[in-house]
Amino acid sequence: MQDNNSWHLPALDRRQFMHRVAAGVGALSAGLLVSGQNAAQQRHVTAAGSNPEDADAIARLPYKGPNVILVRFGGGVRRQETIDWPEKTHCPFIYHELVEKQGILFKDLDIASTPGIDTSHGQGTLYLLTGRFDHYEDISHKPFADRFEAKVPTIFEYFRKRYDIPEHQALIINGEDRINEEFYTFSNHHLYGVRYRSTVLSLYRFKSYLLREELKSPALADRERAEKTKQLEDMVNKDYRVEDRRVASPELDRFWAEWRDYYGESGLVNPRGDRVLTALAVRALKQLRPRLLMINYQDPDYVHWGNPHFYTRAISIIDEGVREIYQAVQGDPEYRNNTVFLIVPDCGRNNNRCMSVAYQHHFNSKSAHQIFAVAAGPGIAHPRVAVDRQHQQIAVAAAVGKIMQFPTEHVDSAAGCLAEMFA
Amino acid sequence: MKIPAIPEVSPADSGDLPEVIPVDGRACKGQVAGKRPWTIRFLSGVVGWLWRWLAGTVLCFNFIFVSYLTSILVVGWLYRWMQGRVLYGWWKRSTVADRLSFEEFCTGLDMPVTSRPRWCLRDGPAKSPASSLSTKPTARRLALWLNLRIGFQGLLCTYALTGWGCLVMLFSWEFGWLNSFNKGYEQAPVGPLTGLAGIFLFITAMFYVPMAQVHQAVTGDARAFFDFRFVWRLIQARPLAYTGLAAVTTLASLPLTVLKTAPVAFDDHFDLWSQASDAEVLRYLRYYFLGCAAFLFLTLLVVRLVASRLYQRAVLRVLARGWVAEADLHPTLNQMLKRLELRPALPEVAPRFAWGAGALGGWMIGAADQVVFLIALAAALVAGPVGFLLVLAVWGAPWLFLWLVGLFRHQDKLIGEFNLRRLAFALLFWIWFAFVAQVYVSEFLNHHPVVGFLNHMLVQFPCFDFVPLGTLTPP
Repeated sequence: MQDNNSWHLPALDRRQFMHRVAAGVGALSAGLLVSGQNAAQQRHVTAAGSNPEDADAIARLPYKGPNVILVRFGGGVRRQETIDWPEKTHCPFIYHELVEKQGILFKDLDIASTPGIDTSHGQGTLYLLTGRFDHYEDISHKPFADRFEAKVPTIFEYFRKRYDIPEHQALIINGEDRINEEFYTFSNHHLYGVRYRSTVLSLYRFKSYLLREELKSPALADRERAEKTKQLEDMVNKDYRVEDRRVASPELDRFWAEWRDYYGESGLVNPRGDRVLTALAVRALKQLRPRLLMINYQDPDYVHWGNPHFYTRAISIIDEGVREIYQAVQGDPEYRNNTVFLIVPDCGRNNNRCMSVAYQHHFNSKSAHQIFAVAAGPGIAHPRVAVDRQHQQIAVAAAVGKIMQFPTEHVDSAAGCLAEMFA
Repeated sequence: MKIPAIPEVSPADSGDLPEVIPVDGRACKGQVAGKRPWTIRFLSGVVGWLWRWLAGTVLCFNFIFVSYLTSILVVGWLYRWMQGRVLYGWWKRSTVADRLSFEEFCTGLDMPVTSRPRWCLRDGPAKSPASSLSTKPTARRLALWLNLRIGFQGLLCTYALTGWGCLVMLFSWEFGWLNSFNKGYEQAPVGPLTGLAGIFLFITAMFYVPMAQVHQAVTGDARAFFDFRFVWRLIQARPLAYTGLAAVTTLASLPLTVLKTAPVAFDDHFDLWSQASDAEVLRYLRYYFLGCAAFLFLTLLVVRLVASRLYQRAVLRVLARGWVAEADLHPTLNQMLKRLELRPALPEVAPRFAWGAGALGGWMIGAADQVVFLIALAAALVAGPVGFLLVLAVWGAPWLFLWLVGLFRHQDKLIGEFNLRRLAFALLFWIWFAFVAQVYVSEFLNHHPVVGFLNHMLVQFPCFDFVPLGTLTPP
């Protein structure tokens, strides 16, 4: 356990103080003595029924605005294969259906070309989530760990601080092999942070659910129990900032229980790759009813290892996924005509004519900074012509704030909010 | 009549006789055949090597696909050059050098040998009438044909051993990522395991190939590449030097790998490239690869020179120690060494190396060494440096004990040599591993379909042609 968690360092934070007082009073009035727990746990694991969010919920507003589905068109796609030529696009649904028939296309979205601003997946996701370009350094100091922490609030934190939205309705859906992206759920900002975090759905979370369920079985042998307990601890402790390790909720447990009943435990039956993200998203729409949903697609990134068709095929799979989610939304009366789709890549990719497989993105090439955005849904303009004016990728966070009407005071306001979509 | 006394005459001292310069123009050791001024010789040497370098460069890179064909000529030329270097080294050590110039010695052989092979025309001057040692006239063929034939044979033999590892590596890369992309969990280990198998196969081949390439070059016989017993004995004769050759090759491949990967940072990064048309980018790229090919050819000269020096000394050591039988010696080698009076009497049957590097026992111990080293690395990850040292100490203790016992039994030299070879071959394994690792890192950054894994330019085709197909050239 680390003590450098900036979010709980200010010991006199108003909310924390209130929570502790409430918890202490509750515990005393019930005649209970909270003992045998360490001080850290006492700070964060509150007495029964006194979830720290509950006190804040009183002050928070009910949300009645549109839902937003933010699709991270990851891991890095170029304009050439997506939006530059209608006849050559590998994402026909996004281009011909969402852009041409009902939405708006921002052709020139840009990632700042300043030193320290990297064009990669983790960073790109955090630019989208926080509305600021920043230099992120791996805090785990392990090779290829790419473990970043947001310094300013994410859109989920803004959203949940403003509105009375339960954790499971502010959802991030992640791929199965990018564990580092599991922990972008909240920032280190002292006024926001863990209590306004979002919830992640991923196979990683499913595996931890399975372990917890297995540990409930009394038939488990001691040795096996110890092994599984350690395994679970290792998985949960990866998010060391969350001291109460509260990674599950009844809603999530129900969600995973149904997933297990349907697909089993083997992991060999459920959809794979980016298709599993689509499956999770469609199920989440039915069961968890998210209001703000982010889907982090990632498979075009396989093109790093050669085979350009990995890239184009993965774009098509994402397009198909967006179509499925769109249809699921249209088939649900609560979501239909009340859901905005925002589709933005985390970064671009190289356009290097000197390479046989010219799709890298780690070397800050120009093309890796050049992306796009698509928006479609109620309240979104449909100008029929693409927006040529250059915008910054970080403007997406402010745009989400404007759609859902929550303040985004820490975003880079100079980047704007993709104003053309509200015209 | 008085007979005058016969004066006493001291015997003539033969050492006082003046040295006679041969009248037929043959030069002896230290003497120069022609009497051209050194400036002319220097200039002609510089011009000659500049021409060879230029031609070698263009043959290493010219046009797409054609580069691979022309690089066969480079292989052939390098083999003939190595042959000349090895023979020249032996000639310099030999007493024959006192009687014959190197060129005369070469013209007396049954095969065309020259220290300065040409690319196209016939090699060297016409056969000297003074070379009376020749048993039969040597056919003087066009150098172009010789380079092509020897190059083709060289590549064929090299691929016969190294090609399997390269193919398996290529398969593992293609299939592994394909499977990973499609999330075939059920076959997940196939990609990485075949990759490791390919690397292992390639390294195993590279234990043998560099020495076998020189042996083939010197004998001029493709079948000599597969003289396993002889080549193994050569390797065993100079294990540390052979490890050094591997290190030189691996180090030399590092800048080449960087140059091969560098285009990743050209276009889309600098305005000169980004704003250029496709034709201009192609032209810039061709200039770049031509420069790289020039560097490649120089690197090849250095690596092959080191290899030929090593071979030259290893053969003499093997013969001096009587490690090979009469029958093991290749006829061409036999003839060369006999003429140079460097061939001692050899045993009828080669001695057995029960625990040598080429023997089964040596391989088993070598494999065990590698496994223990990997276990030590794993222990280092779990328990830190203490774990690493502990594993090595447990493995090393019995060997140390054996060495100590050997000291008292007057076998210290034998055991010492055995352990030296073990150390050399353990190093050799990891040096070749580093060689392959460079390829993997390079391919991760800048993938070259097929040729990236199938061709290692310091070992196989010396070709620096990585112009992308499709983007700049018509598919």
